[in-house]
Amino acid sequence: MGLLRFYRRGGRVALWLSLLVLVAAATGVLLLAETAEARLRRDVMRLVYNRSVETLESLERAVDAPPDSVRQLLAASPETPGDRPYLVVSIEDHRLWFKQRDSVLFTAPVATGSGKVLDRGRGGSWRFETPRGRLIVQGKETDPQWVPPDWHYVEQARKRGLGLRKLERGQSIPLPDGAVITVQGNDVVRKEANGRVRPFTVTEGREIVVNSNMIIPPFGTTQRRYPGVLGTHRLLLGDGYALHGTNRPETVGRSVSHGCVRLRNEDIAHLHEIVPVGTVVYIY
Amino acid sequence: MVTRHLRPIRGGQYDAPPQRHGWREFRREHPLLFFGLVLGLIGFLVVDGLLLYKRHRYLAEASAIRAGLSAVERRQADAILARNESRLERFRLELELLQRQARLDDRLHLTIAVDSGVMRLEREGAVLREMPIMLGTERAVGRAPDTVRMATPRGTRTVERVLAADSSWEVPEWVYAERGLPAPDARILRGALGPAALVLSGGTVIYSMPVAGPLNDSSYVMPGAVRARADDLRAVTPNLRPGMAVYLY
Repeated sequence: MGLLRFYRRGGRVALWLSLLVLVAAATGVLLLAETAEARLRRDVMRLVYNRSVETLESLERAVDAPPDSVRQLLAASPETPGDRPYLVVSIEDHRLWFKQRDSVLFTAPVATGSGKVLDRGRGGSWRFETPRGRLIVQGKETDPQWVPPDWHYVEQARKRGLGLRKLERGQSIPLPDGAVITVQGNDVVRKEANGRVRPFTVTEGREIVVNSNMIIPPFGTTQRRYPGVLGTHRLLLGDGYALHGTNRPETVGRSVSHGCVRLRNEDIAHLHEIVPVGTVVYIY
Repeated sequence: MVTRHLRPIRGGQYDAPPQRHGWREFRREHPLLFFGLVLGLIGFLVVDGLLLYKRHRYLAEASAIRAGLSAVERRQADAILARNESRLERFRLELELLQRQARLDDRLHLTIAVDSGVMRLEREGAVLREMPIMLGTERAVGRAPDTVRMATPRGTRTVERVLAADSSWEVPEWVYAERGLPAPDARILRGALGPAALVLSGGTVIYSMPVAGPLNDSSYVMPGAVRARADDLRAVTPNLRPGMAVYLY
């Protein structure tokens, strides 16, 4: 109704205005076709100049189908992992992005592997690098506990000028005062000569040291689990790697980790919430 | 006569005809329609201007490239362009196919959108990094008869060499000539292509601005080459290996 009134009352002004819009639109359509042709002309010249015609012809042969089929093929492009939300970590930029196609859904600074090498003896070494490539979020944890790998004890012992002693279940390490260090249940304990048992309390940097040797507790014991070190949440990536929080937020944004991707606790908590298990993680 | 402008109504009386307004009255009475049409007009005019500019640019580029073609190549180009419409359409589709091929590639690769001036590190359709780039102009360089054809390639290339800041590269003599510098005898320079660079099959170079040497000029991009920011190349080159694909479309 408004439009009808507009034209009835508008007379020449309304007609001119509408006509101008129509002419501008028609010119646009015409120019679009002309521009596409000019671009094609440029592309053909470039291909010949660049002697790349054979590239396209090989593509054509590979498809070996009439244009309609090619159009159908293009229209029916299968879904790729890039069409679903995915995580990207740039080692150089110390940054993580949660993306879907070209859109960034979330971004945060991260700490990545230090690149340092630790000699493990017998010609071997540990290299603390964040792995480049394609990983997958295999699981999610809240309040994760860190189970230090052997390199942690090697690194700490070297820092402090200590030797190393691996403690196995069923084994006892005698102490000069007659007590022994052994494993009882899930605890590494000090068993006095009078039979009194005291489990060790261990934190990062305060490991069990006996006779100038740092003790490596067996896996599965309380003394080989450090709460808090990995922050509030962890996204497991397999092979011991993970995206996790930290108790040292000041290190985020630097190359300091042993290979994991470390985030501030508030950032990993948000990721834990929005990233489903199965999400692809591209690290470059 | 007054009655000439009036129309009769029942009862032998006369009524005034619908009043025709000027611009101002229109704007007041139909603000939505009026501004909608005006905005539409402006929008279309802007698009038209943009398309005109692009068309002019494409035609200028086509002419410039054509000027560098030999007589045989000109005939080849004309033959392609003279083919029927569906054949030309097919060429367009094939360029799209190339993009599709890149999108579906499950190995790490680079794509270069020549017209948009964007390079991307991609895998499985996921965009790992998007980098602005500058492309060198397409022209024949050097002095006849030793001219070299430098053009931005289209199609698929592979990485041949990954260069770091201390890698050496032989700066072509024509670069010195283009820069108005005397060409030294020893043209193999360390870091000539910046802190990080790639040499692709066919000789195309993706480089960053070096701290010294003939390419240390922000306003100059080697003809037929791609220049990216040093930070971007530093971030992607540790992930690239010889043989990896680079799609240019």
